[in-house]
Amino acid sequence: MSFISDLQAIFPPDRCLLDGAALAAYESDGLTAFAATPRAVVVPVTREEVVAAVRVCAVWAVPFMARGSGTSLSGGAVPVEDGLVIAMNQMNRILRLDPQARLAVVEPGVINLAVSQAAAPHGLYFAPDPSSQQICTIGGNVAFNSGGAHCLKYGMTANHVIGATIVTPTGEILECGGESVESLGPDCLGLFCGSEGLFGIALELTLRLIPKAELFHTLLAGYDSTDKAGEAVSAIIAAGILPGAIEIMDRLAIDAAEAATHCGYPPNAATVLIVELEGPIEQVESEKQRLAAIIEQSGPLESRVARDADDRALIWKGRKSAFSAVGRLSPDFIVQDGVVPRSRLGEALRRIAALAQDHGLRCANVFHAGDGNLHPLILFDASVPGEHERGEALAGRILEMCIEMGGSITGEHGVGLEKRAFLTPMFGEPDVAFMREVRRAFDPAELANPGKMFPSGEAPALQSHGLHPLEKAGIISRE
Amino acid sequence: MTTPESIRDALLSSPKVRPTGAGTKPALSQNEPGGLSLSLSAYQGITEYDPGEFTFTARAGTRLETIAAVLASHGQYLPFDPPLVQEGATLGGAIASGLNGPGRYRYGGLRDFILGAVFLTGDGRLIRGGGKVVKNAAGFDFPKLLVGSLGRLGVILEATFKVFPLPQERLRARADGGSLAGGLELVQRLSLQPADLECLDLTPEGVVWLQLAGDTGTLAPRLDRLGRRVGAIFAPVDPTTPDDPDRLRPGAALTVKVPLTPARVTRLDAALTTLHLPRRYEAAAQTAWIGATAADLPALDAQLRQLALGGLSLQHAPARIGQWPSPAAENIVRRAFDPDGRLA
Ligand SMILES: Cc1cc2nc3c(=O)[nH]c(=O)nc-3n(C[C@H](O)[C@H](O)[C@@H](O)COP(=O)(O)OP(=O)(O)OC[C@H]3O[C@@H](n4cnc5c(N)ncnc54)[C@H](O)[C@@H]3O)c2cc1C
Ligand SMILES: Cc1cc2nc3c(=O)[nH]c(=O)nc-3n(C[C@H](O)[C@H](O)[C@H](O)COP(=O)(O)OP(=O)(O)OC[C@H]3O[C@@H](n4cnc5c(N)ncnc54)[C@H](O)[C@@H]3O)c2cc1C
Repeated sequence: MSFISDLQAIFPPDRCLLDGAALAAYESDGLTAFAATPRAVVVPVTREEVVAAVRVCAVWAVPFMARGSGTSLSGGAVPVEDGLVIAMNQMNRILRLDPQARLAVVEPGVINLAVSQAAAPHGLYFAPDPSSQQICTIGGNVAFNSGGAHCLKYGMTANHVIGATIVTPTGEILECGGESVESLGPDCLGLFCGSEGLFGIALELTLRLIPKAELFHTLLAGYDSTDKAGEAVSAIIAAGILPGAIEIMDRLAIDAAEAATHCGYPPNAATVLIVELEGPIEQVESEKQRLAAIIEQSGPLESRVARDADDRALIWKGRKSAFSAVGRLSPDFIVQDGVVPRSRLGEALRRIAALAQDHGLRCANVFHAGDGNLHPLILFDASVPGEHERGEALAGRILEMCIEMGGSITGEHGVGLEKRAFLTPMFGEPDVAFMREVRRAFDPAELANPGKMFPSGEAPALQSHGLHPLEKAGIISRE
Repeated sequence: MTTPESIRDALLSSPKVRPTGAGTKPALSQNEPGGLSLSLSAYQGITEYDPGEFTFTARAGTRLETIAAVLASHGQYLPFDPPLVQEGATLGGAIASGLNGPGRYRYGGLRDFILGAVFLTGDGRLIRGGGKVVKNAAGFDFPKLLVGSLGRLGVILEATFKVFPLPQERLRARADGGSLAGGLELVQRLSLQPADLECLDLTPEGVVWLQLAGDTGTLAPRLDRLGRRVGAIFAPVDPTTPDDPDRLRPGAALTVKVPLTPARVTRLDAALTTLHLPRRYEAAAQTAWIGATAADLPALDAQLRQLALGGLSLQHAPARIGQWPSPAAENIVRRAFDPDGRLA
């Protein structure tokens, strides 16, 4: 009897991977900065198999990690060294789609976009839309409470999940929430969302679907300064308009996007602003007049409105490809994810520019301006001695700035391995100690995804930074 | 009790404590014999409000009425539409009871708008969860966990919420579905429309009430188009008429909340007909609000159990009736939140 033989009693050989070459595929995730080799990878196809695998881990005290598609950008899906990887991507069935109740019951390995595709014939969709949505799984979205470009109006993943069946690291099965959008008792489901796999593995999830908007109105404006774009955002908010998305890109990001996608962004602008209104026809028609007046007042170099669906798609293509595109300009890069109060975006950008200069590195910026979510992209060349370290240092300084400004160290990518050192500066010792106690209440032996989120111990080996293999293949792009 | 320290001292002075706000939901804040009622109603005040950020932070004892008035003066509101605002409900009580009004239909409930919370654990530790910005994915989401916790996991001291701009105009309308089945069918058709409805309620007689919100001048044409699309005749309703659905708002006559799905309305309604209880179905039949006196509760409790539904009774004890969700997850978090069982 051994840990491995117990696994082999549950999984056939083709779904219980043990040799080095097979394991190598699971060493890293979207961050690619870290890698660790697991002892084994199992690929369950039923929830019973997941539960059985977790119970074997409990018996042998072997740490485990659920893996979705491995697109995490914070090292969240890097295996625990010598632990078990439970690969959830074969559990990818939509079990039920009920348009009348506007919900979908899914296995956690279902791809995010597949839910919206299945719901589309009913005029419905699943609102959370990370730009990795063609490839990332619902289980990963829930574990990281993932976002996208529409969070101010529609919220994050947690706001669209209404039920979950979970297996805790001790092998207990929990039901949280249900099929109604209303519930009774403490919102344990809300706590599970964003817990980064530290409370156990989601076996089944119930998702809320919403009707697709009737009309979209997409506006693109170029400015000679980021401050002006920031002021335009403030004016939109002050006017009581609630756009579906408000995005800003700076010059370096624009150049890269233009080179990659010919998206037709204003050639001389220091910054572009994308605002998308969505809703019933009459409402959008009314808001678009108000928006036009605000943009006019804000002194843009130029502005234009998407003529049709294709033009809208082109504007978004530029935006969505920006990071992969910038990545092609540089051998290595770090995507940062932080949040500052929206009204201080201009100030944050000036400080980032100054910090980048201090560190002698270039930094492109793309952000969800509506919710103050920054994505600075730090460019460096790891083959130049010291550049990698300077890049890491700059990324850290940007997070410190976010904390200092009253924001957050992550808006959507999670803490994972990458930001463990910043959790305590953001919350303070007592809060982090209490989080850890809550984690131990679920997982006394700390077997579920240990080493993530909490400041602790040794990090897995650092590798280089760069494009995710799927980005190199042009399959996904990052936001 | 006007400082976190004094609240903490009071909490630790008794082995059994029930935090309370204004007591608008007496069944929820009711205490066990010998237990201490810890009133937060003097711990008041909006501590931060920046309309440009769409966020505010306030102490737990602040009345929702005060908050709503301050928000309204800046053209903003609480989109989850909490009940019992006029009766004096407090922010802490609203979070702990987790109740939403009919307006939750459009953008979601209180859980979807809470961003941060400062609270005392049962053993008196002061903890901060979440954040003060509209987007944050760092650390565990304790603020959401406290929603619906009924004062049994922690004492909420302060919370931060996201708010939205008030619509320029609202329009309320009704359509008669003829029967419960007809009304339910109309509700389901409406809930699939891209109509951005603010409220979508149903009465047991099959009358459908809806509310639109948006820019001045746009609502009448929207209602007109919607009616043609779903094949229904909507009559705009003057909100001051006796038919005003606000008269049936949760909390006043309707005191029991039952989470629901549209598929279960028919059977629940048949049971409530037998019991002669007033009721209303909210948010596209995702919630039932039922009027029940203390004398009605045992029979209602039995019926809900048969239907595998649970209910929260606000005015009369017991607060928890019918079949409640398994407490397994709550019991796990309690080990950390309330190790001495002071709040249990
Ligand atoms: C129809 C109606 C009739 C009423 N009749 C009477 C009456 O006859 N007599 C009378 O005196 N009052 C009456 N009231 C007023 C009402 O009972 C009280 O004002 C009060 O209990 C409401 O406080 P609350 O809504 O803030 O939350 P509460 O009702 O105080 O509490 C709701 C829940 O939240 C919890 N909670 C509250 N605050 C916190 C916190 N800070 N942290 C953690 N948990 C918390 C409680 O433990 C409880 O579980 C009535 C109100 C209404 C609407
Ligand atoms: C090109 C690119 C663009 C991206 N854009 C965005 C974006 O716009 N917004 C955004 O928020 N994120 C974005 N991300 C980050 C990433 O896609 C999300 O974090 C996503 O939710 C991860 O899903 P996954 O299936 O790949 O999960 P993985 O990376 O495999 O795992 C992530 C975490 O989830 C846990 N997990 C997975 N399945 C389960 C389960 N069933 N139960 C419990 N825990 C589980 C894992 O243990 C791990 O800790 C992007 C990533 C890339 C590479």
